[in-house]
Amino acid sequence: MAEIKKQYADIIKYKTRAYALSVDPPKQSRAVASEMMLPFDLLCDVKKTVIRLYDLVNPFEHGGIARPAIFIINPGGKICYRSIDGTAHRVDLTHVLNFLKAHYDNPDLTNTEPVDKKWIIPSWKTTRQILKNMMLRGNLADWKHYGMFPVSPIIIPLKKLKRKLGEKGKSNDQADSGL
Amino acid sequence: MGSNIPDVGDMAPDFKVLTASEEHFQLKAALKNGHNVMVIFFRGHW
Repeated sequence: MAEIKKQYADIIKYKTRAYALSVDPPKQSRAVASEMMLPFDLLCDVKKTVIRLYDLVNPFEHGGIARPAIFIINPGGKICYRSIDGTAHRVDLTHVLNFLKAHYDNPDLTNTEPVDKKWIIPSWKTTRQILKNMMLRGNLADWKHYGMFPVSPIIIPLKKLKRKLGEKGKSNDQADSGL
Repeated sequence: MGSNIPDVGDMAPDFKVLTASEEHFQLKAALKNGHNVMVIFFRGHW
């Protein structure tokens, strides 16, 4: 969010408005917006209808929260860019901005490239909050994202390869059946 | 998890929620001003 705030002038320049959505109630969201001095609106999906609609519910943390993701929707209502992220492994905002720039020049553009992602190293504030969640609330899920850091760089490419091979197998089956 | 996440090229499912300032927000209405809309799903306050 802080990174998006920093780049918001560029985002606006490319005819885009940002809205950040979580399951937090308005009071809590107002506190976050004011503390971070965010230049864009926060949306409050308290009943979790939107995160269910977009199939982005992470049921393992805090009773069900949003899985980090970014969607860019063109004025016609079509999704032209999406990135489904993890807490510790997220889209590189430069990739988003490069897409917006290209989309500004060509409004029919949709992103077909793989999305560049980067590892997020937790700040001291985040680490402190994770420890607090573990000790006071017995919540180990937050820690898992960062604790997996040493093995995730191996697991994620393997998962991608598996998905790619699966897609290739599917297209071969279709070609064999003459579809 | 993830199989029904709308993909690039799909029409974005419309939704209505409250903003932090307790105003009504609808995706369809936000798109009417001719801008792209970037929806950032985030974990929220911990």
